[in-house]
Amino acid sequence: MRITLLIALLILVAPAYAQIDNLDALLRSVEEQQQEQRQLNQQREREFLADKQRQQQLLIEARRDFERQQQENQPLLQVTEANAREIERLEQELASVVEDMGDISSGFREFAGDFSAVLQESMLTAQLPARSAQLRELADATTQVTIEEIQSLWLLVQEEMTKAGKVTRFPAEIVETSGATVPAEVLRVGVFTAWAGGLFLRYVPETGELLALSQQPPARYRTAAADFGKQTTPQMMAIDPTRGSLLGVMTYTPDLRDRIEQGGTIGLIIIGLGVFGALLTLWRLAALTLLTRKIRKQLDNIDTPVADNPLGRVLMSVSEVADQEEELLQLKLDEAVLAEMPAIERGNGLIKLFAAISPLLGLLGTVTGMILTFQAISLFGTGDPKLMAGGISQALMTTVFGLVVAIPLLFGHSVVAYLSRGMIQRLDEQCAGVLARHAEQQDG
Amino acid sequence: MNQVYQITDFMAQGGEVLWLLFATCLLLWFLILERAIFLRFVWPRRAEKVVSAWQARIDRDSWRARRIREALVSENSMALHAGIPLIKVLVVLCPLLGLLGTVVGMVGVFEVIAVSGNDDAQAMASGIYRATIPTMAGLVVALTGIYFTVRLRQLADRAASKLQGRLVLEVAA
Repeated sequence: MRITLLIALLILVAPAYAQIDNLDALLRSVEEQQQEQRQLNQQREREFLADKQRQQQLLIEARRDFERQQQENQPLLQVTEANAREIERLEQELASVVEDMGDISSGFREFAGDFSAVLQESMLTAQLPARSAQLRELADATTQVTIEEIQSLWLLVQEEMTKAGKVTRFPAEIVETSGATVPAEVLRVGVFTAWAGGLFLRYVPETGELLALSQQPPARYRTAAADFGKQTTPQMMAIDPTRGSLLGVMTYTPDLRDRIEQGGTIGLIIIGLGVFGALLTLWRLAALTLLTRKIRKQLDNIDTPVADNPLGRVLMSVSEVADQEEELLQLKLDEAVLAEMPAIERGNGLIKLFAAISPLLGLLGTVTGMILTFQAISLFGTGDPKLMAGGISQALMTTVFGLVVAIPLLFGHSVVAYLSRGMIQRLDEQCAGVLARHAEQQDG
Repeated sequence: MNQVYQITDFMAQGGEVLWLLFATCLLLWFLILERAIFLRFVWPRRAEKVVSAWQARIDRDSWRARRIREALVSENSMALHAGIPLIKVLVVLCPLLGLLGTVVGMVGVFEVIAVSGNDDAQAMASGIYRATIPTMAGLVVALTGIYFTVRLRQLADRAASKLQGRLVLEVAA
């Protein structure tokens, strides 16, 4: 490598050595060249300097330009910053609006859900069944709420409110107690009570059906319901302010058969006694009425005593005795009357006994019922009153039966005793008088 | 109209037994009035008639006359006392009916307890009304009637003995 460089240098230097004749010429030429070189350098230096000055100038200009631009930039920068701040603010606002919208939306859905439950419970739904589906749609949607949705919910609420305050008739399907579904014209009073043809209906929210109650309220309420709207005068109206719960509870009220069952064995005994006592009383009443009539007939013709009545028998017993034998006559009369007494008073004691026994049996039933109740308490404690109810209802029902039997029997006994005592008194005190009067009439 | 509603409300609160009590009360007062009118207006004339008929008799001392007098007194005494045992029994029945109403009301109360537990005083209220009102009504009716039973019996007894005193037994002149 180094050899190649050396060779190349030698080749370059060789011609110079060839041209130069002498050293002076060389010197001159060197000086000339130096001169030339210097001039050239000076010129270049000048050019550079000039160039430098121009650059300097340009720099100043550029600086000035920059400063001017900078000054021009200043307001724009402020605008930019202001815009940035504005953007930030707007973004925050947007975020909060979106949040609010979310709140409104969830609030709306929640309300729609709550109201859906209210609507489901409302009797109006039986009249307007399409509403609940519409409302469920509103409640179940997951998108942001729209103005239309809000308006439709508003409309539903308003509708519920307005129509709940009205008394209307509308055709609907009702479920009868037999389970058959029949079309009927239903009269609705607010959201409280509904009737169809005087029958109270109960709205069942689960199925949305109107159910005819198996246990209807007292007849006067039903006739009032059937007559409703037919008269112009103010009239009685019965509504269930609990929206059907009271009517629902009423179906639990036991009927007569349930009540008899509640009374238990003692209840049955009391009822048996009561029936027997009532029959006995009726028999005695009929018998005594018949006897009274026969005696009256006998009084009209004393001459011919008939054996089918007490008076006739008494008269027959003294028919052979002569009028003048006063003492014998009196004796015979007393005897005959005494003989009649048991037949006339028959059954009185038994009726009285029944009237006295039935409240005692009722008391017995009460005590056994209380024993059952206390057994229930000792087993289950007093926590659940329903467990005690069986014993208590037996206790009360037997008392009721006892009184229900005793009161008419007491009354019946009083009537029977009154009639029979009157009859005996008549025979005892008036028979002789009748005879005497008759004898006087015959004597003239 | 308002009073009618008040009465029907009262009756509805007291239950069916109250109607029974009402009927008993009406019957009781009908009987009491009937007795009062009989004793006040009908009886004096009738007594006069009986006495004058007795006075018109010639024979007022024989066995026959005695028997006839006895029969007359007995007949009229019965007429005087007619209905008084019924009044008495009705007065006795009134508190019993009240008691019946009370027990029926208690049945209602316990039914409410059986259905809804014992924490709902409002639901029990109708049963409690039914338990208290008939007792009160029964006692009121009995108390108003009890005086008249005693008084009417007293009046009838007195009238009967007075009649007996006026039917004098004497030897015909």
